[in-house]
Amino acid sequence: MKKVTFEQRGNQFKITRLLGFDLEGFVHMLFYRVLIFVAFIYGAVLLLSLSIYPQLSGYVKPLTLVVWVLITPQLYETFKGMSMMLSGGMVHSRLSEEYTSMMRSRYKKSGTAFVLVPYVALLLWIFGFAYAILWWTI
Amino acid sequence: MRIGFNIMFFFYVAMIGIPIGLWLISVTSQMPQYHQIRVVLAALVGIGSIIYGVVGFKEVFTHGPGK
Repeated sequence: MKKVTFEQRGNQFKITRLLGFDLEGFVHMLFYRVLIFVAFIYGAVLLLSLSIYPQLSGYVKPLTLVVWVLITPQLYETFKGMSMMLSGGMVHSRLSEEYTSMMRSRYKKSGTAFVLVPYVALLLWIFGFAYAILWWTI
Repeated sequence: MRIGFNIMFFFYVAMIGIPIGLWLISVTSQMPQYHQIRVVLAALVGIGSIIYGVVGFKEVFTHGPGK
């Protein structure tokens, strides 16, 4: 008998499928899906403005700011994943508190500093965004 | 151990490289001595963005990277 899988969350076309239990995932997914198209256009405009169509350079800054906003959840999740990896799953994970407590006492590892990694990255990112709004130029 | 490079490697490089590239271009905008570096970074960000868009489209809308 052929194995049939069932995706209980629903098809990927159902954009709201994560909304009921994972708001962070939903926001990340939404921004990522829009970013896919905008990134392609941005890359094309950027490369063309640097090479054969310098008259496109006027569009680079507004597109940069749009990409900047759209890439923010991706950046946060990437650095959150890094902090999770570097701390051995002690921080930003969904392991039970009892398990993480036992792991900390066993491996003498607190991972407290790793909690800050995605937030520091986000702060630097926002600082760069403010700088880009005011002074972006290539 | 042989390390194989495929398109997903460049996708993940783009995923972390694009924000870093954009950030570096932004914070050095007021430093004219780094203009050439910004041009190179911008070119890399442009290439990375195209890879990111194409692979992301395949991954999300055609359900599978590299297929």
